[in-house]
Order: sequence, then structure tokens, then C-alpha cells
Amino acid sequence: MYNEADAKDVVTSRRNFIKGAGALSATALFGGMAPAVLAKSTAPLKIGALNTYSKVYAALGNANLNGMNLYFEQIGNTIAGRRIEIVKEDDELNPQVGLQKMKKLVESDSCDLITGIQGSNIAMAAVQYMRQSQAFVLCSGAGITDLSYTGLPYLFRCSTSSYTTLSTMGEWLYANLSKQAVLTASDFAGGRNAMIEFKSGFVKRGGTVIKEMYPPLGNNDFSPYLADIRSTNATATFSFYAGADAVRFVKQYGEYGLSKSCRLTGSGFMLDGDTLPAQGRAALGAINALHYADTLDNAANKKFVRDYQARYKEFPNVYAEYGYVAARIMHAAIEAVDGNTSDKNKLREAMRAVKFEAPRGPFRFTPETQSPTHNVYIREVAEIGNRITNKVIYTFPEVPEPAKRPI
Amino acid sequence: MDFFVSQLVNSLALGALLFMTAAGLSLIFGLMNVVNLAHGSFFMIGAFTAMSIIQLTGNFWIALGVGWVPAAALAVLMERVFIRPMYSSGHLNQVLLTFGFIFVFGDACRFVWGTDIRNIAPPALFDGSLHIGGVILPLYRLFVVLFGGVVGLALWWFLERSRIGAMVRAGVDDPATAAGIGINVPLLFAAIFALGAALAAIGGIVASPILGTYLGMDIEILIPAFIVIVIGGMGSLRGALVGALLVAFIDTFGKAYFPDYALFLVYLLMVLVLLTRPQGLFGIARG
Amino acid sequence: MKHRNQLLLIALLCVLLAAGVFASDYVSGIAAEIMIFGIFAMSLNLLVGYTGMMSFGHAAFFGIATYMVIGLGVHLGISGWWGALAAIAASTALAALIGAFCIRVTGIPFLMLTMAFSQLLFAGALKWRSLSGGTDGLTGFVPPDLFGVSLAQSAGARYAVVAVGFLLVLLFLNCLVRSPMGSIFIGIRENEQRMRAIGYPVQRFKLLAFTIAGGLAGVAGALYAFFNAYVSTDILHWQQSGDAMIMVVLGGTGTVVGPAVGAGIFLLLKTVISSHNEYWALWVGAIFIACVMFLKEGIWGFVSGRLRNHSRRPRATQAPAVPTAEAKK
Repeated sequence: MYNEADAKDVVTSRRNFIKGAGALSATALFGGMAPAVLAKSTAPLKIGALNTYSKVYAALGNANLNGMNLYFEQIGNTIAGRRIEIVKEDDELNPQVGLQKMKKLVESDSCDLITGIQGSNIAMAAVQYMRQSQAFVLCSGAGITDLSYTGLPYLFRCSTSSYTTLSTMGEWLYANLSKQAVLTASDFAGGRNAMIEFKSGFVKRGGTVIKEMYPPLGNNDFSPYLADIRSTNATATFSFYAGADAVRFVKQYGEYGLSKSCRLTGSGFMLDGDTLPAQGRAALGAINALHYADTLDNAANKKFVRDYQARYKEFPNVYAEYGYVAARIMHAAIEAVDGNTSDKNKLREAMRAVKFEAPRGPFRFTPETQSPTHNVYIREVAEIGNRITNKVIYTFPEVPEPAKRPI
Repeated sequence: MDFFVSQLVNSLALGALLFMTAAGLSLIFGLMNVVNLAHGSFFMIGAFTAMSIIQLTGNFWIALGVGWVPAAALAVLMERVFIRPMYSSGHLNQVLLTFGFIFVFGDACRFVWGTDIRNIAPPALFDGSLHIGGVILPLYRLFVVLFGGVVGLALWWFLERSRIGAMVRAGVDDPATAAGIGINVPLLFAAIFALGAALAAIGGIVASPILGTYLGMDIEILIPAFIVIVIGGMGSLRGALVGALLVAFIDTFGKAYFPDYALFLVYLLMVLVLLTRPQGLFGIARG
Repeated sequence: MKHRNQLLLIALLCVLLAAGVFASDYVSGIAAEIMIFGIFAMSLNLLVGYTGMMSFGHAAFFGIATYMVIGLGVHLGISGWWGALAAIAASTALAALIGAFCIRVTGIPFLMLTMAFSQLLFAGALKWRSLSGGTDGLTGFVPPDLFGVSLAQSAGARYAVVAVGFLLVLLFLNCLVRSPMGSIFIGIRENEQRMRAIGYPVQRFKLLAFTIAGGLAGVAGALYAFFNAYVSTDILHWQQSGDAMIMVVLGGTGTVVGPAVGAGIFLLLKTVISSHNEYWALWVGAIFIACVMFLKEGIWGFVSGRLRNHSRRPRATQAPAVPTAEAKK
């Protein structure tokens, strides 16, 4: 049982049948060649796209899929003679459901590879299963640092590892903005980990953390915390919030007049395309770090943004870039093995070797972790051409990822 | 002292929001003995409708003026077609019915408005903050407090002083006799259900500049609204007000002074009230 | 139902369940999940259908069992089997504790109170992240071995464990509702005042029902831990309790096995619809509403009612507006 994510990805089963029949007759004529191999390399390439397509974080899943589809359409939806078929499954941002859906994609749908997985909790919950089933996974979403250190040979990640981004931000903040900061984040593992990673760069350089605050997830009124920040007379804050919390925090930060006295800084995920429209002018001037910005001035990004806008009538965000890069990686790797995805080791070698100029800048996999080595950009929220987005104020080129778990 | 004052204003604003949302719920229970679990959905529909109106017209006041209409219309439809046949089935079955509607309305909103997080900007008139002494008071929150007060007064006048209000109170006390003296009870029920939904929708519209407009806000507001009417008492307007203020105070000051335990305090209060006085502080004791 | 028909049905059930061991991993996985939630829904029905107590906080007992098994395994290295025993004991104890408070009220306040306690537990799990793993949950649990076969590796073994659990719970509940205690529960649902007047210690029996229901939910929770090897706070959210309620209503409150059928319908609908359409919630919600309004006896209740009508037995009682459970299946 499979389904189509987009009309362009519809399998023409007749074409496959003819291909299959042709292959069989070819082997009948030439004999000796194992028909199974031939049949496999013309069978459709099934890619499982496991994301959240319902509820609150659906925008991320949809952007991811859009980015992927954009790239695949540009290469005619075929890799090495195999027609691409995307099987979309919704994890409902619930690790229990995500696990079940992944099992379905791997076992019932027999996908050649799985991609997507925006939720870090879902990714971690699936690690045990990935180990057991040896499924080939190219994660194009979750940023949790732990995912780089699972040691799984067939797990790749093309999104980001939050450690590199946040510790780099910590170092930059110390050197350029303030030697002291107040940290705030939503009280969940993602928020707390983000602060730990920021501190590892900031404190290592000599920075002092004045205070740390962790409002509950889904908190709607930040004023007590903001008043507290004001009382410390800090000149900079570093934060991480997601979704509606990010919108509320940034808006209230402005409402309570903190932006003048205390610079708002945070993780780039708090101030990107999915939240900026709602945050509006309150976000202007906020400094953040991410491995991508839609204003990046390189050829690959210019093309990506232009094509994405033409196709989807809106600007791409970081989740769309993940999907686009994932598709490009799959293209390069699968073509290198001539469409033979059944030999996982060969595919792995091919994928490890993938290197190219992505919209985010140069992309390659860190050999020890199979997670990205890419640029980290320090960005500032600004109004550019009638739209609120991020401009890059500093680039850390190709920041290496630690080979062993750093904290 | 500054901190206290600004927190006071915040809790009043939050209380006003909770009051507007919970008042509708309380009214519906008081009159119709129906616990509408889909109440949060009307809250969300109001917010999204207002967002669309603002996108079209750029005017917050128009959105506030008419943004509640689709929610109220849906409520009438829901009452007529689905709830009315169920009156004889006991109110626990009605609870289940409205629970099903949470799913339906939630997906319907997603279908119409998509999945992005949105926001309504506060009206230009109230954008910005007042700086008094060392205290910063966002103008919009002051507006919310005032507006909540106005709505509360209007509701009070409606129930206590108007003819329709008298009919509502009669219908609450004794539907059979009310029908006997010529009050069109079914029409009244539909009207009150619509009013409750409209109140929730207005609550959603007014809350949006503070809370945002996003899928999932229906479920997020549901528990607080229920805590309010459980504590204040179902069927009582005064109860909704007192309950809302109580919950808002505990939540706001709890977060400020006992950040680790704020969440528990409110639930504990709910449990305490349910155990000691199940009908709530001002509620009608019902079976 | 005739004795012979009953035996036939049980035999059929056993055959079907045995066949599941040989089905594909994916199919047996779905079947196992249905059975786990079937147990959960059936346990809720003991409260809702048989004793007339509508609870919206049942997820607490399911969740605490899962957390116990996974938590003991991950933090203390305790084997899943012992963990399961501890889990069922914990959920039974918790149900006794919470029940003692909740039975003081009835109707809507009871509903709210059960929800409040469940939310307290949920908030606690969110807060004590070191114990519960917070929203990210606890990973790294290794399911135990069953006679040398690792539950982690063998889907068939997992299925077998769940199937046995399901059968045991089904048998237990069947015996319970036919027993004198079962009749008392039904009597309480029908008319609490009358039962009290006759002299039954109604509160004690309500507490008993609540406790047993909680313990059975704990069985489901423990099995879920084996099945998933993972737990997160979502399992304690009131939406989980709501889902159980949907399963009960879909299947029907009138029979013991109805809710399990409801669980199957709910999960299959969700899985099938979500593979084709993003709006599964809308469809499931609509079907649920239709059941509440028109099919009060639930889908299984409807089917089994039809089957019963085909036999010559005259109907002993009229079906009242509120769905009922009769002592007979």
C-alpha cells in the first residue's frame, strides 16, 4: 500500500511492467544474467517521507516535502532509470506513532530509504528500531546532537547537529556582544540541551551566565520572566523556543521594552521563516545562528530560492532546504551505485562521498558521524525588500563536528 | 513593587480572557445542562476568522465586530442538528458528542487555514506600552482588562435586567413551566448556545494578539476554561468571573514565585474544589 | 448466547490469535497494538458501561504501568517481567488511591476530577524529566526474553505475549460481569439509590470497580512497554483517555468485547485513512459522532444484537436510551 505525495510522483505501473517484461525477455535472450538484479534496478525507488503532516508542526513537514519534491521534479523524478515514488507517512509529532509508521514504511511498504523525521524525540525513539532493522535512513530534520553518535552505519543526517551551531554562537556572542548573558528556554529536553550546548562555547571562552530560566512548554505569558531579566540588568539574552512559544516570547520581549536595553539573541530555529511572519517587527535586530539563510548570496541558493518561489509561491525556509539537500544527496549517491539500493554497504560508501555546493554553502558528511559539516552563519533579523528575514553578518566556514560526543 | 503591579495587570488580563471564554461554557451548562467540550474549537475558529478578516480589511475592530459570526453560526447548526436530538440521552452522552466535534472542527480549521502559525497584531490604537514609574504596562493588556469588564457588565445586564435574560433564568430554573407560559424553550436554547460560542470566539479574537493564532489553541484553552468553571461553579456568571480571576492569579503569581510548581497549583485547586464543593464556589448543585 | 455458540466463538478466537503469530511482522504488529488498546478500552468499559462511571482520566493507569516497566528497565536494569508485575501493582494501587477520592462525586464532577488527577500525573511526568525523560521519553529499554526468544527481535513472540494477555483479560472480564459482583456493578449503574437502599455498600463497590479497571489498564500499559520499548509523556495526556472513550463508544458499551472491537475499528481507520488523507481526525470524529447519535449500542453491539435476534430468544428487556450492558454477552 503506498500513496502519492504529489501528482508528479505518480507511478506509471504500466511503464514499469513493460520495463520489467523487457528486462525478463532480455535475460531470456541473453541468459546467464540474474533477472532479479535487472528487475530491481528498474523497480520504482521508494522513499519513505516520515514527517509531521498534521497538527501544529505540519508546516515543517510540508516544507520538507516541498523542498524534496522541487529537486526531484527538476531531475525528472527518476534516478538511475528508477522512477521515484514518495511514500508519505505522518508521525503526528508523537514518538509512539512515528515508530509505528517507520515500521510500516520499512516492513510493509519496503521503502529503499527513509527520510524526513523533523522531531528529535521521534528520531531518538527510532534509533533502537533502526539498529535492529538496519533500515537505511537519511534524516533531514532532527537536530539533536545525540543522533550523530549512535554509531549506526546506515543512518545519515543532512539537516544539522545543534551542538556545532549553538556552541559556535556561544563563542561569537562572547567575542562580539557581551561577556555575560541570561539564558531562557522552554522547559523540555530540546530547550535545555540547547542551553547546555550554547554554554559549552560561551563559558569555555570565559563568558558568565547570570541566570537561567525555563518557562513551561506552551507558556503564554512571559512577563514574569521578562521582568526578572530586566531586574538583572543584563545586556544580552540567549533563548530557544519553538512554535507558538517562539512567537509569543519574541513579541512580548518587545512589548515589555527589553529589546532596547538587552539584546535578544537565540537559536536560528526560533527566528526563521516559519515564525518570523508572526513575530513581525518585534524580531528586528535579533541575532541568531543557523547553518542557512534564505538571503545567502551563492549561486545554489539563488537558484533554489527562485525555483521554490516559482513553484510554491512563497520563500523557502530551513526545513525546505533540508528536503532539497536530502533529495540532492539521494540523487548523487543512488546514481553512483547505478540504482542498486539493495547493497547497503555500497550505497553507504557512495553517500559518504557526497560533496557539493548546497543552498546553505558547501556540504559534506563528517566521516565519523555521517552528519553535516557545513558553514555556521551568525544572522540578524532585518527588513529586506519588504519582508522580514535574516541577513548574514558573519560566516564561520565549514565548522567541524566533534568526532566524539562533546558533552 | 513594580514587579507586583505589572504582574497584577497581567493576571487581570489573563483573567479577562479566561472569563470571556469560560462564561459562554458556564452559561450553556447552566441553561442547557450541556457540557460543550468543543468550546475551545469556537475559541480557535473566532481567532482564525478574525485573522482572515484582518488580512482582507487591515482593521482589527471590524474583525472583532464580526469575527464571531461563523463560530456562532456553526454553533446554531451544531445545536439544531446534533445536540437537540440528544437532549433525552443524558448529559454524559452529550459530552461525548461534543468531544467528537473537537476532532471535526480541528481538522476543518486545518483544511481552511493551513498549518502555519499566525498572529494578529494588536490594533494600532493599543500598540505599545505605558511607562509609569518603573512599570511597563502594555497598552493592549490594559485594553483586554477593560474589554473583559465591558463584556462582563453587558452579560450581567443581559441576564439580570433584560426580558430575554429573564426568560433564560426561567428556563434554567424550570424549563417545563417556562415552556408552559409560552417561552419558546428550543429557540432559547439555540440562542444561548450561539451566544456561548460567540463569547468563546470573541475571547479567541481578543486573545490572539497575546497568545497567537495557531492549530492546537483549541485544546490548550480547554483545560483552563474547565478549571475556571469547575472552581467558579457551572451555570454561574459570577462563578466564571471569580474562577477566572482566581486561576489567573494563581497561574501568574505562581509562575513568578514558584516557577517549578505553578502547573500543579492550579490542578490541585481544581481537585480541592471538586472534592469539597463539587458544584463550585457559586454553582448550582445539579445531579 | 447458547453455551455451544460461546465455545465455538472462543475456539475461533484462539485459532485467529494463533494464526497471527505466523503473519507478517507488520500485520502482527498492528494486531498486537489493537489488542493492547482493546484491553485498555475494555478496562474503561468496566467503569463506563458496567458501573456507569464516565472517566476521562483512564490514561493515568495505562501510562504509569508503561513508565514503570520502561523506567525500571532503563534506570535500574530490572527485567521486563518483574517490571510488568510491579507496573500492574502500581496501576492498581494508583487506581485505588485516585478512586478513593473520585468516588465521592458523580456525573460531571467525577469526569472533571478524573481528568484533573490524570493531568496532575501528566504534569508530574513533564516536570521530573530525570525519571520520565520528559517529552523526549525514555529510550534504550530492552524487552525481556520469552523462553529464550528475545521479544526485541521477534515480532511473533511479542504478538504471542500480547495475545495471551488479551485472552486472559477477556476471560477475566467475562467471568467478572457474570459473577454476583458484576451484577452489583450493573445494579449501581442502573440505580445507585436503590442499591444503597437495599443495603449494598455502594461506595465500596464503586471503588472496587475503579481499582480493577485501573489494574487492567495497567496490564495494557505493561504490554505496551514490551511492544514499543519506548515511552513518552504523550501516553499520559488526556487525549489518550479521550481516544479510549472513542474506542468504547465505537465498539459499544453493552458487551465485554465491544470496546476491543472499537479499538480495532479506531486504529484501523486511523492507519488506513492517514495513509491516504491528512484529515483522518475529521473522519474518525464524524464516525464517532454518528455512533453516539445513531448507534448507541456501538458497532459491535449492533452486530451482535442482530446475531442474537436471529436466534429464537425473546428480548428480555427493552434497550433504554442510555446504552446498557447486560449480564449475557
